[in-house]
Amino acid sequence: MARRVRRSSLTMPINTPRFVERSWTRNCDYLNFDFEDSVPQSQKPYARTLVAKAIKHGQMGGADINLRINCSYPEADVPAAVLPGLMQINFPKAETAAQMRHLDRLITEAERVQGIRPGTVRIGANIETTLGVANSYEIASASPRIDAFAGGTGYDMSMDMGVEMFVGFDQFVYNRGEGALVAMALGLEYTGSVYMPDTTGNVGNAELTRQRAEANRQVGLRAGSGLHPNTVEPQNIGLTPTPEEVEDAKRVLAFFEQIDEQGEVEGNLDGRLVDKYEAARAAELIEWSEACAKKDALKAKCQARARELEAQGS
Amino acid sequence: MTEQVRRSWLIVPAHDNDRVAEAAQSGADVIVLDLQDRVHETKKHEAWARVREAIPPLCEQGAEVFIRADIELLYADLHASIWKGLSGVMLPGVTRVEQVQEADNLIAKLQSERGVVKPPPVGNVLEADDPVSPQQAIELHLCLDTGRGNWDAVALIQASSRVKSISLGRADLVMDLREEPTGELHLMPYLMQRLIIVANATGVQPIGAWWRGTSRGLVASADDSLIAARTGRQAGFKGGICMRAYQAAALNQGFTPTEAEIAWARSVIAAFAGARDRGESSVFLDGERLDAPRAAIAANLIAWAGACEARERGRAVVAQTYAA
Repeated sequence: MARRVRRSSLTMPINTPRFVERSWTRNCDYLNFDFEDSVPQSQKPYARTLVAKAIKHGQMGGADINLRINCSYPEADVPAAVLPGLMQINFPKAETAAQMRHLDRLITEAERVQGIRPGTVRIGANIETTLGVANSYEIASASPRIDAFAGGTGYDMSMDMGVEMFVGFDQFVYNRGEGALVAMALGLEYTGSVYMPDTTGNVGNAELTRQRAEANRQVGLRAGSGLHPNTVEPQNIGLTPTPEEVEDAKRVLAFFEQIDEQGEVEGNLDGRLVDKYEAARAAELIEWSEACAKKDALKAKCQARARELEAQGS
Repeated sequence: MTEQVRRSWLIVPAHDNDRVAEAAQSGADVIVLDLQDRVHETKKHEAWARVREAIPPLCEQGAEVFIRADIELLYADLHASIWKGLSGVMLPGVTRVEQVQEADNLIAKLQSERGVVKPPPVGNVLEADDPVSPQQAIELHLCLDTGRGNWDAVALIQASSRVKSISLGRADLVMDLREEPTGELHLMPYLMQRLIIVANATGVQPIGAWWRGTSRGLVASADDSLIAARTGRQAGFKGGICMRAYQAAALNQGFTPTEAEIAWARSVIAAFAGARDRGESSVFLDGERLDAPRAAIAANLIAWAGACEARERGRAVVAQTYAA
């Protein structure tokens, strides 16, 4: 499977038309339509009727479509959510492997009914409670639909731990470490983020988002997320390798090929030690840069077509 | 039992005569003859051919000798290197219990067949060779340089009684997990602490130096290596891996308690002993409150300092013997 590019996203209530209808204009790599916390309880049944339209709107921008369901009644949400075009179901407050296996069965049944190829829909297990952190490994390994994983941070996590969210230091060191190690152990993509001091909690802070994205890129992390349109471009740009980085990676690769041919395992390139691990890192960066370029081209094409249709008034 | 003193683990390509000769003079506690990463595929046969004869001259300089094996070439690597003078085998990239068991079985077989035993602590003399005695079993050092290896660390360590030390291997040296904006190394606070906890819980030595060091291990200067070793010791490590001969002395120094630390530890022990004699369970010394665990920490430091001293004596004894 081609590498998934998920630098930027917006999570939005599926029952707010002005968000959903304009979602394609935001240039997100993926969109996260919500059945959960941003939808009032009285609106849940109505929300379930809006999925096909939301998928259509979102895809006009070239985004992958995710949908966050409610953890308490997946039986009601999954059949409404799994429609052609859906990439992933996000399951909030994941706490046990049994929940994941149950969700997997519900999705399998829905795929069958909808004529979607088996295994198409991914599962995102959101770790947001202490029990979830404790069961990380079992949760992440419970379904082959889970291809990415990260440790627990965020408001629900803060609430469950009885701490404030924006304290200016990383109160989730263990959660992040456990999540990253579980992802590494299982060969899943680690979709977590580095910690940046933040005492404001402003979700639309473009500058901080950009700094965080740059820092993530530099430590080799590739995934982003967001709640505010201001965060989309800073992540699209910040998580994409710069042309200078790509050039440098190509030099490293070429240099390594050269020393390898000479029967050497390491060499000195402008004061830097280059070995097969540095070469592998360079190759990954080039591959990632190509995947980003491909995604950008797809989004540009989809959005141009959507604008054309809009201009024609349809 | 006194703890093994292995403050510096210097890795050198087994086929590189110059680097091996340089290592012999480095003062490294452990010299690791590499058959893995630092030996090009086209030069493996040279390395295999060289190992056996490379070991004794290193022992004669008062070093312990390990090899670093390639987990995929274990059979060839161990056949080439389980010979007189070898103390242990470093296993990088280990992820499965069966790999550890395979290494254990193969080492046992080769030790028996060849009558090879692990040498005694440097400077000591062996009473008798017994290839099947646990005390003379050639050791394993596990490099937990993968996610899977770290996750299953306890099971891997317990897979063989030969495992006496663990490290993050390559990850400790190159810190592949790159620095975060807060100055921490990505994942390192968690992974390193986990490694130290796991090692102590299972009774093996945690080896690692470079986390919280001022530069990464591969080409760090001697000064930076010293800082890395000091902080490594403070974090709970007993020694560190290095790749350059000049780094070995710095690691030895940094992992050895300083005179000031030893003097302070002695005064702590004395003050606490006085309190105990007066029937008190705690006492203040220069504002620090001393109790039994605090005194025990000081005693540990004194014991470790004594072991380091004994290690240097052993090196001198061996070197003298062979020079004569």
